[in-house]
Formats: sequence, C-alpha cells, structure tokens
Amino acid sequence: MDKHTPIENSSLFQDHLTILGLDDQAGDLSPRQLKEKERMEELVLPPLTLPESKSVWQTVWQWLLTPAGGSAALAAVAALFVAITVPLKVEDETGLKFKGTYRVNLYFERQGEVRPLEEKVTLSDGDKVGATVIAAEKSVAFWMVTDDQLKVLSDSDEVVESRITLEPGVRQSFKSSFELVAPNEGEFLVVVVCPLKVVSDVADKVVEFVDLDQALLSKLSQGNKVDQAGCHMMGRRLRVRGTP
Amino acid sequence: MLYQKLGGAALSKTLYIVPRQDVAEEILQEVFIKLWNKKVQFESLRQAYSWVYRACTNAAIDFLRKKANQTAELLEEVHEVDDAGVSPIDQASLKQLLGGLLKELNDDESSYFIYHHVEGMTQNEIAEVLGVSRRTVVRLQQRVQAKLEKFRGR
Repeated sequence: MDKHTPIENSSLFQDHLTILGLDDQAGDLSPRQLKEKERMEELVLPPLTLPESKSVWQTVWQWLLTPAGGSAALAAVAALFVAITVPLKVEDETGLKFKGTYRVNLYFERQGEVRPLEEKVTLSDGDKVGATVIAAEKSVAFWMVTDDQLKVLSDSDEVVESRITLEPGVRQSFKSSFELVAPNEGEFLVVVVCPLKVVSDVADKVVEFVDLDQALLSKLSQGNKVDQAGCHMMGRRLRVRGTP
Repeated sequence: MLYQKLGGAALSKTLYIVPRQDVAEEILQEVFIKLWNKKVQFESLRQAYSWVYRACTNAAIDFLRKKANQTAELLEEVHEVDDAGVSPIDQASLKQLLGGLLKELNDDESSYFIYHHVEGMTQNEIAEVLGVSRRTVVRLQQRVQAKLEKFRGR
C-alpha cells in the first residue's frame, strides 16, 4: 500500500492544535480544519464524573483496612523492630559487606578497557556504560536513559529487556550496556530497584508500574535518590550537552 | 476547565479510531479521570493536549486489542470517507491495522502506526506526543516498517 500522504500536509494532531489555538500558525483554517472544527463543536461532551477527593488519612486508613495494607503495616513494624535490634548487614558473594537496602555501581568500557565511572570521568561517543546492582532483599531492577530535557531516549522494549531479578546479597550486572553516540544529548541514566514483595503482582509489568513522570525525573536529575511506591531510584548525568 | 477546552478535540480524535460513541466517551472519561487522579502539572495547554492525545490513543488501542477477534464487525463500523473526501485520517491504513496488523505490533509500535500512517503525523509531532527523542521515533519507525513489510508480504 502507498505511504499515507495526509491531505494538505497536516496531521490530525496539527489540525487540532491549530483549531484550539495552541500552535504558532496564524491565519484562517483550511476547509478540512473548518470541517473538523464543526465536527468537534457538534459532538456532545458527556458530563465528567470525578471521583470524590479523600484526605490523605482517609486514603491511608482505607488502605490499612485491606488485607494487603494491614500485612504491609505489620511488616513495616516488624522490620523497624529488627532494624533497631539488629544491624542490617548483608554479605555478597565477593565477601564485600554493605549496609542499606541497595547499591548501584556504574562502570564504563572504552577501547576494551572497563573502569569505574567516577565523577571526574568525562564520557564521549563510543563509551559504553554499564551498571551492577546489589540489594538486601529479592528485587527486580531496570534502567533507562533520558536526554537533558528528561525525554526518554530508551524505547520501552529496551527498558523491559533490561530487567533483571536480584537475589539478596548477590551483585548482578545489567545484561546490556548503553553506548553513547552522537549527537551529545546530555544523557542521564536512571536505575530503578523494586523489592519483589512490593511488585510481586506486577513483576512482569514492573516498568509500567513505576511511574517515572517528569517531576520524578526532575528530582533525580538534581542529584536526589528517590523512593516511590516502594521502589528506589537513582539517576546519574552521563554527559553535558554541548561538551565534546 | 481542561475538559471543556480539550474534550471535544480528544473525543473527535478517539472516534476516528474507535468507531463507537459509547466506547469513545468512556475512553474520554477514563483519560480525564486519570489526569485528575495523577494531578499532572503541565507547562502549557499544548503539553496538556499532547498528554491527552497520547492517553486517548493508548486507550483506543487497548480497546481494539480486546476486540481483535471481532475484526469484521469493527471493519464495518469504521466510518467511510465522506463524499467530499476530507477525512483527516487514512481509512485504508486503519483498516489494515484492524485487519490483523495490530496483532503483529506491540503497544508502542501500534501507537506509532496510528500516529504516522493513520493520522499523518510527522516524526517531530510523534516525538512531542510520546515525550521521547526523535531518535527513538526513528528506531520505532524502522521496527514498524520491518513488520509492515513482513505483514504485507504474506
């Protein structure tokens, strides 16, 4: 079949932007846009029924009354008890001890040589960035790359394929590395680690479960580690746009 | 307010893909309720419309997938191009999607197919709506093209 050639070279999206006055185009609407505008105006919008707003406490209370919520609350109390009475230490298979919930180590490969990705390293085209992750409990981890405007560069298949399952205390690498290529888009790496107990029902769709919206990405890009919905996220600027 | 401003355009767009008024209205409700629940902040109305446009497309694709076994019924319901021939979407491409191509494409690829082949969007427009780089759109295009050629070759 022939490649679709839109009439008058504008898409439906562009037509809508023009009709709604959301683009920079000035001037009259084309006959097709006029027809579309008429259609939009003739459509009867059904009333929008919004859910009742609840206070935070109402929401939390209702969640606690569910079996999952009650169990999670009890688990949190038990974990706190253990944390206070027993120092949290996990040994990984190389004998290195670490404290805390998880750790991500970054490395890069250049001309066949692999080195830790320290802060002072300047990455350039052809460098490949990889990561290892270790977690105190069974978890799933995945990663993605954005540009400096926090637009996701990785497509969703790549992100889903990056997913690995972590056994407690066992360091594991992501199967693939991210290769930096021209142009320099100010790439920013995001790694997400989710304890399996948090995402067990959605482990197959954990990438969709974790909502990496712009606000969250913005927080990560400012150097903050973020916890959301029980998952842990960290971000790292790989390079700055405009630098060689 | 957003609903009043953008709802008509969003409903019109959804109706082109899902040729059923009740389903399109339900999709519209779902999208704006999601917007409300997520308390999404937008820098501009244009950005808000991109979000709504994408959400409506995704919901429409979900509906089409669920109805994949009722292709014949859907194909009959797809609106024919009117006599003036000014439909803003490519009916033939839409029918191709409903005729089996949807099974071959994943969610991102289906979205791309609708945006480019059915609605005639450029790569820059698709990147804007998807919130990804143009490079990602190019790679998506390559995957869709490969699957399209395989599909047509049958």
